[in-house]
Amino acid sequence: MHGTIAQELLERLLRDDHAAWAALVDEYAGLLTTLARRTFSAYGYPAAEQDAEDAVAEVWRNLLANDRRIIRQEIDNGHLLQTLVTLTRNRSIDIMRRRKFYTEPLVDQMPEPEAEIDADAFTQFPAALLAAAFRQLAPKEQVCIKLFYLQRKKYREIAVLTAIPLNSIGPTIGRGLLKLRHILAESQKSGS
Amino acid sequence: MTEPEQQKVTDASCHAVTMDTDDRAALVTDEKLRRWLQAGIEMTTEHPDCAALRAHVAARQRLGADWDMPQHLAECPVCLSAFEVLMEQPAAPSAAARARFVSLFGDGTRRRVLWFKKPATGWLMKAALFALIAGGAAWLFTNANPRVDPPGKLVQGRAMRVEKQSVPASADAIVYSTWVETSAPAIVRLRDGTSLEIDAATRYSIATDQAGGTVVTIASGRITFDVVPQPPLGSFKVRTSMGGVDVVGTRFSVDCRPEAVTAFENIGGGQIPQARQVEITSVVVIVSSGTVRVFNKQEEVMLKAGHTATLRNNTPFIEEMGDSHAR
Repeated sequence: MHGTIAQELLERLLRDDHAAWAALVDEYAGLLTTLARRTFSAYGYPAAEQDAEDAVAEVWRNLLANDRRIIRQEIDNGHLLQTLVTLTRNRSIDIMRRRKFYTEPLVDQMPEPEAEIDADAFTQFPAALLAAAFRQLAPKEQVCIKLFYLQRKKYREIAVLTAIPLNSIGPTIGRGLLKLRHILAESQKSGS
Repeated sequence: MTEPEQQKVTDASCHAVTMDTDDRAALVTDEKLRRWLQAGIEMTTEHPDCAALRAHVAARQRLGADWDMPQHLAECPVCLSAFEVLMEQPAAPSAAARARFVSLFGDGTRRRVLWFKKPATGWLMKAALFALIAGGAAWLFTNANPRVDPPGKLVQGRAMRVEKQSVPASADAIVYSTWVETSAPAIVRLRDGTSLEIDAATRYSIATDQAGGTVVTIASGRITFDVVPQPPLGSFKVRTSMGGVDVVGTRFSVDCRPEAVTAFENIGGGQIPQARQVEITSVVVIVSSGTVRVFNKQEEVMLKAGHTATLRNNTPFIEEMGDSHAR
C-alpha cells in the first residue's frame, strides 16, 4: 500500500467509509496478529490465539478512539505502519501485565564468541568523528554493526535478516570495526 | 564453561541466567561500545510504508546474499520488527477474527465534536455554553465547603482533629473532609448504619464524592469496616496513598502500616549481594464477608471473603492471598 493510497484510505475512514476500514483490516491484521504473537513469545508468555487477537482488536479500538485522533495524526505524518506496530506491542504487553505475567524479554545475554573487541580502543575517539567515519564502511558492514550493537540481534538472526552466511557475520563485524578504528585514527591524526 | 565456573545471576524479575566472569567482561565491553556507537552513528528518519517493506522482503528473498539491507531497517527497531514479521509471510486472520475486527468500525467509538458553523447561532450557543459553565462553577464553589451535617457519630473512644476546620460540630460528631487521628481505639457509626472500628493512632478522614457516595481516606493505621448494603446509586470507597477499595456491602479492614523487608543490593564485581533491612509502606486489605474491589494504578483484583490483598510502595502489582492470612 503506497503512502498516498494509505493516506487516501485514512481519509475515507474519516468519512465513515466501511469499505476502507475492511481494506485496512485486510492489509494489516495478519501482520499485527503475528507481531502480537511474537511479542508474547519474546517474553516467554504462553499466549492463546485469542490473546493475539485481543491485542489487535485493542489496537483497532485505539485507532478509532477519541474521534479517530490517531487516524488524523497519521494522515499528517504518514507513519501508520510504525504506529500500528508500536500500538500492537504495547497492547500485547498490557495483556501480559493484566494477567500478572511479570517478566523480562527472553534475550540471550551470552555474547557471541567472535565479538572480542577492545572497547577502549574505540571510545578514546570522540563520538563526533564517528558519523563521518561510519559512512565510509561498506553497507553490509554498517548493517551488521548496527544490527548487532544497536538492535542487539544475534548472529543467527542477522543471518536470517540479511542473507549473509552465519559464519561471515562475525568477520564482517570485526572487519568493519577494525576499518572504523583505522579511519578514526587517520582522521584524528589529520585533524591534529 | 564448567559447572563450578557458573554463577547464577538473578535479574530484577527473577529470571536466572548463567554466565562466567569472561562472559560478563565481554558484556561490559559490548555495552561500552554500544553506547559509543549509539551516540555517534547518524540515524536516518525516513520510515518505509507497508508496501515498501513488502518490496524489501521480496528483494531479500529474490536476491539472497546480494541484497543490501536499507540502513534505516538496521537502525529502527519498529521498522525492523515489521520487516521480520513480513519475512515470516504472516497468514491472514481467521474469518471470525476478521469479522470481529471489521465490526469494530462504527460501534459508537466515534464521537463527533460539537461545533457551530453559522456565526449568529454560533455566538448564541457559545453564550449559552458559557452561562452553563459559569453556573456549574458557581454551584461547585458553593458546594465545595465541608457539609455542616455530620456524616456519623463517634460512639466509642476519642478522636482528635488534626486539621483546622471552620464547621461547628459537637464533641462526638465527625466532620466531613477533616483529618482526624484517634488516640485510642474508637468506633464511628455513619448515618447509613455503616460502622468503622478504628485502631489507636489511625489518621483518617470521611468525605462524600460528587455522586454522594462516602469516601474514607486513611493516611495511616487500621480501620475495620462493616458496610451496610448501599442504595443503587450509592457507593462506599476507601482510599489510601497506594490504592483503593470499592465496596457495596461487606465487612473488611484496611491497614496502612510500615513493613520491614529485606532488600538485596547488588554491589557488582561478581560479589554476593548485600542484604539490609528497610521499611516500606504497605496497605493490607482483609475481607471478612462479601466482595470488594481493590485497585492501584496498575491493576485491580476482586477480593472475596477470607482473602487478603497487599499493596506495597513501588510495587506495581497487588499481592493476593487466601484464607490462611485472613483475620
